[in-house]
Amino acid sequence: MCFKNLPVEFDSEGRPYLRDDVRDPYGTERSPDLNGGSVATLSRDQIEDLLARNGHIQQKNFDPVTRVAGALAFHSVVDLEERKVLESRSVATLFRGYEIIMMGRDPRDAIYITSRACGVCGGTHSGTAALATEMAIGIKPPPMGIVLRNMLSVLEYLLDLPLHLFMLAGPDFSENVIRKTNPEVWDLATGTPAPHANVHGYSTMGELMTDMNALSGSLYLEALGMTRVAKEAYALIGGKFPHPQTMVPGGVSATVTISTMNEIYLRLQQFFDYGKKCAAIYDDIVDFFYDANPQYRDVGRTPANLIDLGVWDDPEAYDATYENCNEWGEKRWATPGVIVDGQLVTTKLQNINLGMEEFIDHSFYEEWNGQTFQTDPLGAPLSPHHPWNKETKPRPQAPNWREKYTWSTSPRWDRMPMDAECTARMWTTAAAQLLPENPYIDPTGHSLKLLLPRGREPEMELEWKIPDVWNALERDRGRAYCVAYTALVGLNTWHQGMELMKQGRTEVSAEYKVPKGQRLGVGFWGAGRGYVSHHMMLDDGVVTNYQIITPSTINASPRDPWGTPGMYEIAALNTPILENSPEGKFQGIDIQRSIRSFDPCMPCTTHIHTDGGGVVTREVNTCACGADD
Amino acid sequence: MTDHSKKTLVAGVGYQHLSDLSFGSILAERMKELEWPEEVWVEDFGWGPISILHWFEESPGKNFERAIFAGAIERGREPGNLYTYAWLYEKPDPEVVQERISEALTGVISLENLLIIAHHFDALPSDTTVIELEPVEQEWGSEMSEIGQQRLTETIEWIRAEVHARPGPNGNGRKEAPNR
Repeated sequence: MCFKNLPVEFDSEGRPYLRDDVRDPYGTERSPDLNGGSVATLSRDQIEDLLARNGHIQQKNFDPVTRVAGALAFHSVVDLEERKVLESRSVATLFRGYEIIMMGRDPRDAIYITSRACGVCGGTHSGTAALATEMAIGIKPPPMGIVLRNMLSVLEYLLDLPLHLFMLAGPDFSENVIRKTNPEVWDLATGTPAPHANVHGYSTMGELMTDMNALSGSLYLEALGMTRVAKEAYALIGGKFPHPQTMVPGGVSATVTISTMNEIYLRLQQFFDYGKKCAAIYDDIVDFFYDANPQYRDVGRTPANLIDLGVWDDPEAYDATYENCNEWGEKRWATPGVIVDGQLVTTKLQNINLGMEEFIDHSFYEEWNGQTFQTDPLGAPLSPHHPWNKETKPRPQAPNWREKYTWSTSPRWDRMPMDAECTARMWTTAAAQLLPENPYIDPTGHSLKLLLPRGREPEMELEWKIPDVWNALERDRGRAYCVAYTALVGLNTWHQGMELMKQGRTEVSAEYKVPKGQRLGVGFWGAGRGYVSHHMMLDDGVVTNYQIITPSTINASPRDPWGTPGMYEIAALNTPILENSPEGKFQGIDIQRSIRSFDPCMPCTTHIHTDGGGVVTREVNTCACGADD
Repeated sequence: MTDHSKKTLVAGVGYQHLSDLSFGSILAERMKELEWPEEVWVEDFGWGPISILHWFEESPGKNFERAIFAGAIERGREPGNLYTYAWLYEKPDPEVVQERISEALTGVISLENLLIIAHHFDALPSDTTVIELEPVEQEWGSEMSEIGQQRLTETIEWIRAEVHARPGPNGNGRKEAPNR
């Protein structure tokens, strides 16, 4: 059964339909079944009472949360005696409004405008906008255009992942941080041999952690250098980074020759050895923490509910139609899918799309009226809260924990909070076993085997295993393995490109006209961090609705209509306080590790406010520190 | 003449289409339309500080002996004034650098972030001068304010005088506090 909460079932031919025995099928009166994934929360009155009566219960606000992309604040209430988090609130403090900027524009502008939603994954937004536009106007790129887009995404992720692993989240596992927050763990590290010393070259965990130090550690500096390698390769196709100039509806506008392909390969191959190293480092870090204190398994723990749209299209299968999205989706190098309580429940893009709703009960927006579409283009039922029906109506106001407190919305799938991750893409791919035949990546049902070619290091098979617990450390470990996975997809893609060149199929874009009438499109894609969708509606050649959902919108979401927290909030609530800082020097490192493990990217999450005349005025910045009610 | 013989870098930093806040990028654009001595390299640095750091680490970036950076920064000073100073700023606390890097990694274009990050990694030429405009207009738009445009002309004249006369890096000697 795909949906447990939405009243959507499937006929004998697998077509979804709406049950006719449910009154107000998309009403929010009934609380959803969270598959045992519910988390206990206290009311605001209870929290205020506890704060007033107990000196050991304190508020800990992170505003901003540092070492994340963009403006995120996090409010928590911590019981320092019981060593637990009593309340957590994730606050996206900026509103930028790309959905509004897109209104009334030529759809071809979407690629270039929405790219500016993010300074890291601008290419992802360009590509996703291209997919949405192609579906809406009915064109399909030639195979080489698809291959080059795949390669652009590979290279963008290969920039993004090292940033997270060693420059943003990585310092949480550095000597400088651990010495300060958990001196006993640091002492243990200095005497603990590193199991993968033969791969990464550090004989003890202490040495490894010293090189994780921000600014001075060689792993930090190496990652800074690797971002350059990926950017150089990216610019060979995209012209520039992070906002590619060559993405067009129907393919790309770049001229790519054998020489370009070779220059890309020279850079891509550097990630084969780097992938081995990243996995070895994070395997050692994660296992060391588990051994140091098994309670680290609870840091950032959330239900294993993950969602991904898949990415990297089959150049012969992708036809840009919604009608065939299930077929071309399942042929991607990363299989689309939803994991509920650790189990794969669907790999169909249509089902993923149907199950997605966006709520704004605790977000600085007004509710919209009406429902433009009762069904998707295939006649399957759509929620009034679905992105194709959603309208973005910003309503800036003072934050209030009881009501509205963030610019992020609450996307839910089948009414459950989801985790959007690059690891989700590995998980769904491993479990679904639908990957095209290839020499390097082998999904086993419970793991993903990754055969990395010889570089300076010998050929090596890595195996990322679906974890038995879903927590902060496993998110970070997954990202480390994702370097290898992404590099191997890059290698497969490179081979595809070379083969097409050999066949003389070097056309990279298709001609098109923007048709009249009402058209719908959606780009199903992903950033280095995971899930990205752009839903587009056109009327007579102009955009009449545009909705973006990003991984951090999903993860940073506030409470939903049923009071269920978003994933950052759940992760913090489940986190035991293991920090051992001297009295009065509480850092909140366990909470910070929980949040950073999601690789937050807030510029994507909150989408320059316009005044009534449609003129962009300025960013609206909502400080989270004033939300005391 | 090869790029290696370029000794002086003049770089404008900023976003486009933000009226006076685009001072740096408009300056670079205007300067590229003019004739300059052969040793002068004009660059639009309207891109991420980390990428610029990488640029400084390789040729031609690493070859410069002298750099002049120009951009608009709001610091609460008299709007429309120009402030010129030698970049003699002490290296900030590593946590501050890491904060700036976190911003830079996510694509934020900022003159001050650029200077702090490049300085931290010893990538700046030892002779580095900064020209800042305190913006008058900060709204969306491709036109600078009247005062901003006047300052743009003055800045180009000042740079021309500097690169011809080369009186030294200290400008008017004003040292600004960081934008915090």
